[in-house]
Parts: sequence; structure tokens; C-alpha cells
Amino acid sequence: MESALVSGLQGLLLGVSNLGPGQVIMLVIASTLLYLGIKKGYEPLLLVPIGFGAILVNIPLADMMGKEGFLRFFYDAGVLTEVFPLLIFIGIGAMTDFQPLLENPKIILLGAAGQFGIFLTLLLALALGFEKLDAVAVAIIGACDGPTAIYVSSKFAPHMLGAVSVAAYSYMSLVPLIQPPIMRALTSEKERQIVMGVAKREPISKTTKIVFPIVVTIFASILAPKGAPLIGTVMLGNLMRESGVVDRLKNAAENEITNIVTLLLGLCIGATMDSADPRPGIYRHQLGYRGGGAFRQAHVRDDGRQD
Amino acid sequence: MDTWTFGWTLALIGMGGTMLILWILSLLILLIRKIFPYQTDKAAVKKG
Repeated sequence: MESALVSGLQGLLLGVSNLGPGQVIMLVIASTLLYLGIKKGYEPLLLVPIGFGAILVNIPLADMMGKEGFLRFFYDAGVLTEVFPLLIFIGIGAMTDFQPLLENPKIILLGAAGQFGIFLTLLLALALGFEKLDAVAVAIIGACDGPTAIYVSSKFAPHMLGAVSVAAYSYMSLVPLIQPPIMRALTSEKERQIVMGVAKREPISKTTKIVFPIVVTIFASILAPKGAPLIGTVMLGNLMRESGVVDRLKNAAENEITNIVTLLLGLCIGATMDSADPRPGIYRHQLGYRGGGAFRQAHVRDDGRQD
Repeated sequence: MDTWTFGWTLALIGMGGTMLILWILSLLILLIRKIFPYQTDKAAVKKG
């Protein structure tokens, strides 16, 4: 009787005795993400599931990312196969109105501005000592585009998925804080008070709106076949929107599919923040991203060499 | 290819390639608009 009681109590303490310092640190980081999402309102749709996923994966002995863990199931099925970001892209396409672009095609060149961010970040990441493919994954953060950052990371550097996603979404949520002082520095008060008129443009036919996603899919996919899943899913969503004949599918893509996938994707991203992950450097990578460049430069790999 | 050659090559080809593709895409949009012009209003004007 006494021994059964002791053994039972030992069982209760098993989790506590297996709780390492790495897990404690990651639990604190996960709680910080939850705080930022819930209290500060920074990208709560992403940060809440990511933070909670990070908590779940760092519970000792729960083995959520183990061979039969439930997070492993969703990670393998949705992230490794790149299906989750692609499903989100269908939703993005269904929510996007390309009318202003079709009215004034020159503004498409503004999209090129995003590229400067990508390649500047790429060069910065290489300068900080990231491996080539890791730097490519980091670079997409510079485009301020969460789903693409997730897609590229899952393709080229899946071990950095959590860190890249959190960095990308944190950066995006900080834009309202970063942008105003830059705008104030670059413009005078008089310039900021200019009221821009609405330019009258030639109206766009419904056929143009329907043909546009089809033509872009074919054109862009032939030029860059590896990007076909990305452009194809966005344009599929947009075709559903503009055709007007599949409202149920469009509504599902905009709401149910995007919401469910966002939840599962967030949990899976959080699940990559496992302190016990055996892959070299991942834990430090995660800390490094959040700590910024200074932290990153002090990064020492598991084998002891500076990288 | 060393890291910096990789970085600069990717940056230059990436930015140049993107600008070129986006420019072609803007031409494509103009072409689609020419092939499928807006007609509803014109028909209404004719009727009116």
C-alpha cells in the first residue's frame, strides 16, 4: 500500500523531474508570444496558436512532436508537404481584389519594391553567417509576407520554420510602429497634408477579371515552374472570387479553410520550437532571431565553433 | 560559389528578373484589357 502510494507520487513528479532549463526558457518565450498576441494585439491569429503550440511541445514527456504525437501528425501532413501555406494562399486569392491593378497596370512595379527588402535581408543574413539556404529562408522576412516566408522556410530550411515565421509576423505587426517616424523623417508637414484626388480610370470588364488569374497562372508558372503552387493557389482563389459561380467555395476559402489552416499552421510552427530538438543550432537560432543581431553574433554552434 | 558571389548573384538576378517579369505582366494586363474591353456601359449608351 505504502509503496503504491510512493510510486504514484513519483509518477506525479515525473514531469517535474524531467523539466529541463531549456524547456523552462521556451515556456517563458511561448508565454511572451501569448502575451504579445493577447494583451498587445500583435498578430493574435498567429501568435496565440504559435505560443500555445510552443507550450505544448515543451511539456516534458508529453511527446507532442514524437512519432505518434498529434502535432507531429499535422506538421508532417501540412507543413512538410507545404499544403498549409498553399491553402492559405487560396484564401488570400479569394480575398484579393485586383481591380486597382487592372485599372492601372503600372502599379505592378510597386511589387518590385518588396524584392529590395528580400535581397537586402539576404545579404544581411549572409553577412551574419547564416548558411546559404538558411539565409534564403530568412530573406523572405524582408518582403513582409508571412505565408511566403512559411512556404519558403518549409522548403529550404524547415528547422528554422518557427523562428522565421515568428520574426516575419512580428515584423509585420511592428510596421504601424516603424512606419510613422520614417514617414515623418522623409516628408514635410505640408506634403503630408496633400489630399490625393481619385484618378478616373477606364472601367474593367468582367471577362478581363476572369481571364487575368488564368493568364497569370500560365505565364508565371511557365517562367518559374517551382513557383507554380504559390501563384496557382492565389490565382485559383481569385478566379473563384471573380467568376461569381462558386460563391460557396469562395466563402469557404475566405473563412473556414483559412481559419482552420491558420490555427493548425500556428500550432505546427509553435511545435517547431522544441528545446529538445536535436538539430544543431535550432534552439539558439530561435533565441537569436528574437534577440536580434547582437545575440546572433554571439551564436556558438553545438560543436563549439562560431558560425 | 562562395557566399558573397552567391548573395550578389541572387540579389542582382532576382531583382532584375522580377522587374522584367512584372513589366511583361503589366503589358499582358494591357493586352487582356484590349482583347476584352469594358462593354456594358457602351451598350447602355447606345440604347439610351
